[in-house]
Amino acid sequence: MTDTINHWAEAETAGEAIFVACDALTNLQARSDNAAAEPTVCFNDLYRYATEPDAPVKAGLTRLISTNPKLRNDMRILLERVAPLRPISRAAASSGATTTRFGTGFQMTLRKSQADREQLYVIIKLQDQTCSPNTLFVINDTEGCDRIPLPEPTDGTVQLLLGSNSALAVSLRDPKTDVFMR
Amino acid sequence: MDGIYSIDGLAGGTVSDELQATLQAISETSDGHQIKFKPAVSRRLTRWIVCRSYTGPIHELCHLVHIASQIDRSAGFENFFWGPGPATAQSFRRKIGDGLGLNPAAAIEHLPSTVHVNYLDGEFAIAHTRMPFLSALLEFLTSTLGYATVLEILEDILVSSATRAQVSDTANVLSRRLYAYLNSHLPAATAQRKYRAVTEFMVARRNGAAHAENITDDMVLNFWIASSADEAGDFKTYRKVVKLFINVRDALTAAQQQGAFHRISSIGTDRENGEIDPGAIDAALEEIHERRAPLDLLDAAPANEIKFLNKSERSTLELLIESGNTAQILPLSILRAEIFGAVQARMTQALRRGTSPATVIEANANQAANIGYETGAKDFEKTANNLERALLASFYHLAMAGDDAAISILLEMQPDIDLSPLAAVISDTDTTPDNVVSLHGVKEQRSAFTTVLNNHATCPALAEFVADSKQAANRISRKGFAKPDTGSSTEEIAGFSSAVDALLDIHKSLSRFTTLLPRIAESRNGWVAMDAIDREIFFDQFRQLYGVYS
Repeated sequence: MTDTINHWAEAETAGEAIFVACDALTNLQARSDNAAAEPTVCFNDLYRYATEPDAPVKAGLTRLISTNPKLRNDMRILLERVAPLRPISRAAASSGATTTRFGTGFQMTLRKSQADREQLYVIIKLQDQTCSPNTLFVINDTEGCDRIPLPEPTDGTVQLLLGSNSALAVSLRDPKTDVFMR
Repeated sequence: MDGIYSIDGLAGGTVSDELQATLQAISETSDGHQIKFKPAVSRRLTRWIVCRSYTGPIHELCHLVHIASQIDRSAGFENFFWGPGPATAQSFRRKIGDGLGLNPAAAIEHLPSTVHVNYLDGEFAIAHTRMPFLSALLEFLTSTLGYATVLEILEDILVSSATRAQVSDTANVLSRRLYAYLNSHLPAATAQRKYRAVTEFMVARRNGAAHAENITDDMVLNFWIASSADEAGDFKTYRKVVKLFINVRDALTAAQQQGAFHRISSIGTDRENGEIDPGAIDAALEEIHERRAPLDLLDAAPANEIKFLNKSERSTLELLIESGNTAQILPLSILRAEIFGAVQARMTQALRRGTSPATVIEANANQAANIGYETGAKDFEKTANNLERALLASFYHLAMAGDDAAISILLEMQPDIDLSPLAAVISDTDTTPDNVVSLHGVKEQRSAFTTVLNNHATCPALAEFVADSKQAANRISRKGFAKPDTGSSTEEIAGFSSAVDALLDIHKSLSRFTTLLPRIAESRNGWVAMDAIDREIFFDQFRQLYGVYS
């Protein structure tokens, strides 16, 4: 059975209830004429961000994900449902030059470049060589959310070269960061 | 903030910025190529929210979520609602068909216009035509309560073994969550205070009940004079007071029509407990809400390819169109709002800039002497003439493109046109025994319409109309109106075609209103006399409101 909540309990008459609804409608319309100063996103924008790598990102979305913990949590949960490659465990604390994390069907290792100490290799080994993810999502509670296009894997391995101090490298080194790929 | 996808801001006394911004964002949601929800869908969603009539739709939505989870088990219910493409009945029909083709689900039966789900403890059916609305509702729920919250609530019904009872329980939880959210973001107290102030004023003045038919132009003005200095500031601007009375009149009329005028809820679902049915409020609000549709349609694609109205014309029309039939009952209030409301808006802006109230009032009093009722009335007439020219030009472009939307313009602007000379060139259209050509018959057959146009020279009345329309097209220089010899693009023709009904609706309202204006002047000894009296009344009140006497 559907519950009935007495939404209009405080209205003295039907006329008053209709007016209250009508007044809300008028206010909504008047405000939309003024247009919100800051862009607002809907869940549709988040879904497109998570599933359509080539789609333009809604203005303000990445900033909102970075600053709004609830929205970041939504992004994380959405990726858990729509990204085939997701973390099984968070990374162990970095031990020297190498950090490794494991996910469903992949292993990600960060390794400092021996040729240039200012650079860092991200090596993603895919267990299923027919699997070819094209986007890496990195979610970190302080650094926010990043979406990075991935190159084609070679022999089941995807490799990225980052600046050691880049925001992405900082995020990936943080054991609390979650990574997803699709 | 409660909602997580938008800007901060709980409602102070009315709707919150967050709620407004979320509904606005949903109405503008795009799949990357086109708007996801049609304007009618977004408007319906807004009504469900403001009328709190979402309980039934949430119940339907939960059944649809269960169905979606079963027809696309790999991508989840999310792909059904948020996958590529606009949210239309056709696209949902296709998704269900494709999903069941790949992943047959014994409990789900797909029929031409509905989808049925059979639970162990009952069944449920949803029409494809409902799905865009339910999809917009889910967008609203996930964007306000949050995806994580909604997903957690829905979890039990995302499995094949879900029961109808579980779906109902889930719907109840979602309804309660939304109810709590709206209590913060859509409070009713301010609106109730305003409504009661007006109806109490009416009762006091009329020594009886507040009836819609008792609202007059003089009552609106008297209420503003009596209440504009109210501490809460709800009635300070005359224009807002006019809108308030229009809304009160609409509400009283709707309640009276539903036989529910007296205290406590004759329209309620549970009369003994005084419960008011949100569905009845929704039904009452639909007509009021749809009044704005013509203006909204002109702002939306593809009509916005064409600049049918400039900013000043649109501003002149706004209150009139939103008033609906009340414009016929309170025409002077609307005219006063256009004239003195505009003066008050200018004064408020100047006061905000720090100009002294006395300077602002005297400067506007002098200026107002030049912007009287006659000018205000002429503004409406000028807008009506410009709109008529836009309609004529639209006819020309549509007719040249062979678009039968042109016929609606012809029939509206020349309802008595004599088309009998065309009977001879139209063999396959309806004719009466008097040989009168029926263009309603032609409307069904685009080729016949083209024939009519190609032969318009044989019909003097039509030839004259076409010539007038060509002249109008030549004289308009606004975005989207090409000169007659250059032709219009496909996008522009789509814009003209989609705007015809909206323009004709606006034209009708404006024509009815402008015919009332001379009668108002006549009944009150002419515009000049009215100017003298009303200027004194309004500026006296402005001086009191803005403290010039103190």
